[in-house]
Amino acid sequence: MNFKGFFIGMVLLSLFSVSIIMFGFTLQADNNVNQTILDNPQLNRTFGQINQTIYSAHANASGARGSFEQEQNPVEGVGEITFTSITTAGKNFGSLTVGIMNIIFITIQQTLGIPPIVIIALSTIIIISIILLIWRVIKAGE
Amino acid sequence: MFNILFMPYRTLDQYNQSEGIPIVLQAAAETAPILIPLILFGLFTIVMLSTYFSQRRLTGRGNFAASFAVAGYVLVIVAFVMSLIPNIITTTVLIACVVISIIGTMFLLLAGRD
Repeated sequence: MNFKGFFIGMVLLSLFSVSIIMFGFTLQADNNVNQTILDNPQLNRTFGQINQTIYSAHANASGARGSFEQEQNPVEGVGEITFTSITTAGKNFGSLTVGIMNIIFITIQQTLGIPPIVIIALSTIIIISIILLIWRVIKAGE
Repeated sequence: MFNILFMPYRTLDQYNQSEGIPIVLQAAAETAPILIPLILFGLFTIVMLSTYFSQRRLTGRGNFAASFAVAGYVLVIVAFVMSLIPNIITTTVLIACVVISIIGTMFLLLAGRD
């Protein structure tokens, strides 16, 4: 499994974990169960940490994208042909894609009432995928 | 001491039978605390093996990780439904079901790819 697949798997795993716990908690809270699953201190702590991790992963991915776009274009080596224009184009299209994605995701979230954590997890996956795709364009021209 | 070791079981007429069917489950769970975990384990095993061998029969190849994850989701849903009735399932068993479900998801997302 490559890095991208592993990263996406980890983010989806944390999202699934939060969903399972939230499903149980909501079901129990709606039916007036005395002791809900989140009353267990260990599970409550795990739930909070997973939430926090997803939010910080999104912040880190956004930071990584900013750093990536601010980096200087690669310098040509001896006997190597580098087209700096494709690098700039890749970065610009990356920003454009993330901008469109944010607008669409906000609309979907507000229309369908999706919890913000779901959008943030998906957004993190897409940002990392875009960075790796741009890097692939710069490296191999694919 | 012998009174503690050989306490008589409570019979159904000692429960408030006006509360309905849940009393039967509560009485059974109180008499044999291992009953509910065994039921859940049996359900998990049946769902996992049946989906795995069904997939293998239909397509010639089974995905064990997917079967494990699906069985985990069924398990956790049934466990949460059981938790709505008081004194049927303990929090420890419920959390174990959640953990099994998360392990199934991890197995599916990180190791179950071809």
